[in-house]
Amino acid sequence: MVRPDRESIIKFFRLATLSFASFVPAYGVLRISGLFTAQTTTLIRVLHELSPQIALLLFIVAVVCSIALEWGVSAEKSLLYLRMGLIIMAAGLILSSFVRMEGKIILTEGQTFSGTAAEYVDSTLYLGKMARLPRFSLEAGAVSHSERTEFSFGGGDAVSASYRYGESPVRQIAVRSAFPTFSDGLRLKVVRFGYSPRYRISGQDNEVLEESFVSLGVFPPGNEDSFGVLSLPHVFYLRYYPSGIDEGSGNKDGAGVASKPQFFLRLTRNYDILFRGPVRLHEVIRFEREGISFEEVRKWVELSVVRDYGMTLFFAGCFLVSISLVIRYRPGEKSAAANRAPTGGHQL
Amino acid sequence: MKHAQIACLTGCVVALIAVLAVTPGSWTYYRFKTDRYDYASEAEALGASVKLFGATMAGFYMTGGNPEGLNSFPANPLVKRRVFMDLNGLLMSKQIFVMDRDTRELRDLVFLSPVHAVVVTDENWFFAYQDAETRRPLSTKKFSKLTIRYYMKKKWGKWIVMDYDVFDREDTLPPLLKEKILQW
Repeated sequence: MVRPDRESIIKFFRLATLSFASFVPAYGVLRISGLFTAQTTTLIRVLHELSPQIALLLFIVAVVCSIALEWGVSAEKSLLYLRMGLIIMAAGLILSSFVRMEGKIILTEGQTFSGTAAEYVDSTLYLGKMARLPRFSLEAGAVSHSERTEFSFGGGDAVSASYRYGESPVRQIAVRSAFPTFSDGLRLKVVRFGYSPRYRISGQDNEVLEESFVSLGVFPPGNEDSFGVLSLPHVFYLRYYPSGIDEGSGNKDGAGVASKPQFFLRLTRNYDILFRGPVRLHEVIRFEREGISFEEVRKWVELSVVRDYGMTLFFAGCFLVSISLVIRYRPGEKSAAANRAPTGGHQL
Repeated sequence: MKHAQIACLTGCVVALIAVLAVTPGSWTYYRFKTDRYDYASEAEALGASVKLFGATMAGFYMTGGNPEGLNSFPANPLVKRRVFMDLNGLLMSKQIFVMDRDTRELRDLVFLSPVHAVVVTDENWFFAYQDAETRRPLSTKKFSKLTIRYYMKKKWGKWIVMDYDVFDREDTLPPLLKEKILQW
């Protein structure tokens, strides 16, 4: 039999545990609901903020106190596993705030990612309080794209790459959009696909002034994206049609020019539209003192890179919670629990 | 059981208070999402900003880059840089680019958040080149029928142009990339 004042303390810690357990998901949902902000962040990052982290810590303290106070009184193993699982889940979320690393990188066929912070897509790189950038490199090989239907498994986008982590030997991996690739604690997944045309800016005497690949969101065909060049005030709006734009007139020009135009270009300088029309591969469009041409098109993919050992712990806790529920609600367990010393039943 | 419900409710209420306290502009966003936002006066302010943007930019080109009015030019520093890069290029070739607006009509206005909006206007402009010293015309007047999509953000109490896309009147406007705009 538990003494009344001890029972009050146990009840207090149970209720405190419920309060903290309610606070964390409520805070997360309210923050990402979009009701109070522009909703540009993820649930995991929200749970890394100070308020939920303090609530998680207090939750762990409250549960540990509950376990300590009820030690030897309650004989329910499932309750102990449940509490342990919840502690591990909370600890995993706290650990995640320290060690999580996530970001997005864009890989064009044939290009290499070296692992520096500058190579991650702007504003996507997130590092926990003590997290470091993973030391890995990727050299993109071929990118493939195939349409996924509702009932197909696989398909979608994929890139084969030469992957190297730290000083380990290089090996070939395939990263897909259908399911993530796990390697050296990293989770890699293709999230977007597009085309990278190689543009060339030439001067009045056709000397090359600037040449580079630019990753554009011009997929599916007909989608428009724009890019600029630091040295020019112009903006280039481009659409790409891999199978060509049907002009009806076929080949207009001689050697070095594709039979059908594959691009639709709109070239502006502030409010003035200097050029608007179809463009063939290698065709030079002259504007003022410069010219632009598109020499080549490659595919690109955007990869999501995540490393979070805290979430591994979180899922381990989820597994333990599941085990406790299976033990608690397995046939025969309910009546056996009812015959044990009364301690409060379903409470935390 | 009643105490358990009160404990859960307390946790949720404290979470709500924490969200309101922690999130910048939370009350303004809440009013925006629940249609308590003053759309009419903000739309008027947006229209005035777009008008000032066009007029000031035309003034820069007409004067060959006189920076008077730069402080009141409602534009992102990157937009200002683009404009003055162009002006420098014209000056080096001893030319002035004259812009004269004929008409402007509002086609669409979308609020993405209390501080992000997209304004689409149909504008008719006349463009011409002149010699910088003598103002002698170097080209015929070019009449352009444009559709311009302005990406606006409210900063320090006023709406400024973060970027803009210029389309021909016949072009189909591509869909808005809301996530990209909200990150500005």
